Amino acid sequence: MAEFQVVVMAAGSGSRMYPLTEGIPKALLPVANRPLIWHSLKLLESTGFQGKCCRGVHCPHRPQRPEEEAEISLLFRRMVAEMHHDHIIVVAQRAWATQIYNAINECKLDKIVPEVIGVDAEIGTADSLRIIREKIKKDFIVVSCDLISDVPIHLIADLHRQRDASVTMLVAEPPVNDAPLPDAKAKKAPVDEGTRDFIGIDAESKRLLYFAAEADVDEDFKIRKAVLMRYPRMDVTTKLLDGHFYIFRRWILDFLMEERHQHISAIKGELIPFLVRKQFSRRKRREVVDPPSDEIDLQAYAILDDNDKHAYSMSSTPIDTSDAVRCHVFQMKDGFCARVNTLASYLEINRNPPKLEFQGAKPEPQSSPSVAPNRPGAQTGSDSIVKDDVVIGDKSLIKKTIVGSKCKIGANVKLVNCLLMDNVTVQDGCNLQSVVVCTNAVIQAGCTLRDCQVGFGHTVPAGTDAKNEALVSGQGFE
Amino acid sequence: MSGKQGGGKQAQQQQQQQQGGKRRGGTSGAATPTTPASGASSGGGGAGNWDAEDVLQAVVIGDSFNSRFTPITMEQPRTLLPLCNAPLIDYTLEFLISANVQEIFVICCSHADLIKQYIEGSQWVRRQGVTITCIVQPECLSVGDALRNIDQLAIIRSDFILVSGDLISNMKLAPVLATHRLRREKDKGAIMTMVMKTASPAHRTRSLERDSVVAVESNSQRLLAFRQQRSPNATKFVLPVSVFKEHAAVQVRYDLYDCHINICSAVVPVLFTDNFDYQDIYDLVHGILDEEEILGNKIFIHELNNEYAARVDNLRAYNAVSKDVIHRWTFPMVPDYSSEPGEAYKYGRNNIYQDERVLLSRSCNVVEDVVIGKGTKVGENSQITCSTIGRNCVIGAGVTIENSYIWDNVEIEDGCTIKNAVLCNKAKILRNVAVESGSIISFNVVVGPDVVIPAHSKLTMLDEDGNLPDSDTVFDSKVVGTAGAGHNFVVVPEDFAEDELEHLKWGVDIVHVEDADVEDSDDSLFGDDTEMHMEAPEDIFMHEIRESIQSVALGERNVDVENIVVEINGSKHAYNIEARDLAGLIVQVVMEVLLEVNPTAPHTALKTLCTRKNPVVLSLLKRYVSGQQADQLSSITAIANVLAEPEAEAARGSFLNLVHKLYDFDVLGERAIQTWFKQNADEPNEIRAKLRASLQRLITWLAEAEEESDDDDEDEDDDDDDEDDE
Repeated sequence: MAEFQVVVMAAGSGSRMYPLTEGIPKALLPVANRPLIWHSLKLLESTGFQGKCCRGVHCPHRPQRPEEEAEISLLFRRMVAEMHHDHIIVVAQRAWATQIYNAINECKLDKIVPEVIGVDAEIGTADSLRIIREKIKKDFIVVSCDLISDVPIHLIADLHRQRDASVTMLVAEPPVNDAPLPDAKAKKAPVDEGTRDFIGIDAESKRLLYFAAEADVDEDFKIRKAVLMRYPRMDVTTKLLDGHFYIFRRWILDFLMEERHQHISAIKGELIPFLVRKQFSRRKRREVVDPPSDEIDLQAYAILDDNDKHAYSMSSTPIDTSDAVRCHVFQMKDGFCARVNTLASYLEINRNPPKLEFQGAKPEPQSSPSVAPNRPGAQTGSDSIVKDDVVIGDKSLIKKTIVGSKCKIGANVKLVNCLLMDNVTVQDGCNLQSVVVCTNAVIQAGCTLRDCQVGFGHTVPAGTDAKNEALVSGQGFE
Repeated sequence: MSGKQGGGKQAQQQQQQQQGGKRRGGTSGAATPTTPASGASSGGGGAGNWDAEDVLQAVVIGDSFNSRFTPITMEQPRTLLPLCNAPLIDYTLEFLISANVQEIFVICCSHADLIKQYIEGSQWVRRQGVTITCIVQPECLSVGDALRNIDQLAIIRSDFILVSGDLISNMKLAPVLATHRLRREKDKGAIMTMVMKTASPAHRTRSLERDSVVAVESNSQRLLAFRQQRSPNATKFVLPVSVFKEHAAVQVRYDLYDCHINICSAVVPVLFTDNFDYQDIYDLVHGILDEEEILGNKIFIHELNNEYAARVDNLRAYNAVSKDVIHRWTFPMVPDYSSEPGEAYKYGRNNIYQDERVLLSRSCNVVEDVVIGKGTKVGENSQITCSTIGRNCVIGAGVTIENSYIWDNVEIEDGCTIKNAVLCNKAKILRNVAVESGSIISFNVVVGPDVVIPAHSKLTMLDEDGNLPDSDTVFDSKVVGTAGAGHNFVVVPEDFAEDELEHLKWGVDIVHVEDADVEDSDDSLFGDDTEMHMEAPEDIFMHEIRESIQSVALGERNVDVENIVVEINGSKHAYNIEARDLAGLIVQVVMEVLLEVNPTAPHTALKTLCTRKNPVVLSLLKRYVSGQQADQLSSITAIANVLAEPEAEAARGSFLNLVHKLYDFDVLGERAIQTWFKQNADEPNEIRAKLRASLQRLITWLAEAEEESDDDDEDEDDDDDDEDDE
């Protein structure tokens, strides 16, 4: 995978996960007792990023083992060091950058030590790319920190290479809800509705022919005839989830830098639809309208690539400039692919942590056993993840729940389908169902909560009976 | 045509024979069929009645309700037009009969008597196991009317097959029917199955008249949206977004064309009665898809992959389907396999079908893809290729026939050339006549001798009011020749705009367009849509051709000048560019391209372009500019205009050289240059005036050259070189 650099987008604030993200960036929300971003990094690592060769690379953030050093010849190392410099970049909000960097290091990934770059809050993903473009030397992968998947990245890369694509993106059918709770479903449905995408694919070549968010299409679904001329069978579906995993050609960056493309700020919302639209179009037109300038159009970029140039120069057939931009999709067939970008999906992923085993993301036993040792009088289901240092009182029942470290759970507490982040106190006799409790929160005795979220550091007074509420201490959220 | 009946169906046929016998009276063809319909309820599909279930019915619409084949169809209904020497309706009936249809209703509207007469005298009424009933309804004006009448007559008892009388197909209906019935058992709302054939977007058999895109549900093949575009220049298809919102997996298909074979449930005619404004089947389709979702009615499609089905709905389709028959895609419906009694075609190599009683001269050359009917004689040195020739034709010596359809009893005298034309029965072409592309010579017309029938002519014996000529009719000898008889037929089909009409024409040009289609659409389709709307048609047109010319100029592609001409002509129609503006626009584009190549001295770029091995640009200029003085004048103006633009300041000096080069290359004539110079004598604009003044030297030189030129051409060349050195 040395041909690609990786950019992990972790600057999202997670506004759709309010109130969970009140005191913590989305990237650090715990999923199966790991920060969210760990899962995407782990996926990269398990695919071989920063693999064997990288062990020999001097990373400024990691001491080198002497015996490793010896293994690798000097020349090779220099070469590799060059190739792998700044291999993986994490883009984070400036305020959280250090924290995210530390959190990643704490996770002790074997082969990945990314560089974390802080950017302003709330800038688009394409804007982020513009900022870090100096660091990107070759074709690159962009992956969102909220992707949890065991997708075989090498297969996506294969498709990308095979089709010589300008961009290859990952789509998958969203995970089926195994244990649908009526309320969870009800919550999920409307969220789905607005965030669906229309994805049009040519089944044979996996070419992406149409891409638009449902909300962006008003009444008319317009398809260019030229597209249909080439690909007369187009499968259009709304059931596929955009995995926010893209492989881009390097020239996309140059293209983004150009003056008249400055309006493109998001990858998914603007860049990809733009590229898809520009497929099969020809260089022209604009030059006539605008005063002549040294502007180069999209197709020109696509051909500027040195390899292409070389290849074209050797080819006896004329260059088909109309097909310079090629967007492809990799449709994941089996395996697991989910995005944690809404409250509902966050609850869902935490509710069904066993799924994560597939990607090797299962918490390692020595650090956090997935099944807590039976504590006297407390019942903990095997479908729960409870940290070692958790104190649980008598006759408490914990089912399908994740409990973070240093939590204190009183006696006679019933936790079903819950998520307790670190250092949460639940006092005696509470009954919590489908509740997310953020770090440092305290739930006083005798509360009955259902479908609630308890904000960072909030104290729920004793005897509260709440349903479907966000319980936060601050004066709301902007 | 004597089709093959499925062998294993003996018993069933016996049974049907009896029924057929009983209903034979129907064939005598009264306006009201004599078929008993008492037990059938028209709406609910009369289940329970034993023969309602068993008898498979079909309705053949024996009229096209349009005028694509005029003037031919003024004298003969479309269903009786011969295709590979057999009337269209024969193909349709044979298809239905071999699919075990037992009861066929043929709706006859215009020329009803002819259709009825033909069917009654044909082999079909003598066929066992099938009843053919002609329903004469001259008052019908549309398929909708016909189906409403069918509903009134209450003759439909169950699912039936609805086809048009110009259909050619060899598909097997049984599986489609079975699926349709199965679907219907599960869901009463599945009222219709449309048969659609897969064919790539540029396929010749696709109807350009109705360029269609369908959206179907991926798994169930349920039709969700159906869009047709008549205008060939539309760049987009628009589908309702609700289709994609409501269905998770939808296929958008541009590789299907409607075969006009519809498996309908008995409720379909009722729907036509209920919605008296439905004119054709598409109205029903749109009605069901767009509005009647509430009623739960659904349409499904059946995709045809290996079998053949196509409708002959215009001349282009006539051409395409004829080729398909000759190439045996329609097997067993090919001339040698299924011919009228008394005919015996032999199938030879190179797809040549020849009746046994054909007289070919020793030296004539029958190349390939040819059908020749019995009794036809072909003279010495004649060449025939890709054509069908009817019965008892007489073809003289030295005749060339290419890609043409010659019907029965046609006489063609010596030395004629016929390309891409249709010659109807008893037409007579006297000696040395050239019939050019896309022409129709209708029944009994006589042309010649020594005339050229220009492309896309339509000649008929009928005058404007549709009357046959009498003894004192005088024909225009410029049109049909001194010994000719016939009128030029000029009626634009009422429901088509001109550019749409262009597509219905048939001939060499169009074939080219089809070839260039893919490229063409690429050229024209791109850029942002918003821009498209804001620009004036001229501007868009210029973008289009700029693309072509630029790619040639930069050597990106090496194309035939014909292709570019086709592109330009296509764009011309698309953006309503008038012929007189064309030269100026093209020159302007060429100039812009030249400036791009060489911003200071465009004339050197012009020289390199025009002296290249394949001087496409030069041929273009010659074609569009040289012909008329007015064009030449506007070209010079165009050059001046481009140079007068502020950004072309650096290139202004080469105006003289440019004009001179164009003169050298015979694009501009000296007369034109002189006239232009005179006309613009009092040019108020300073820059333009200067440009004009710079021509002075050329004008003087021309004046001198004119005096000397008669005797010495070499001189001119020398001068020309001098000019280059400067």
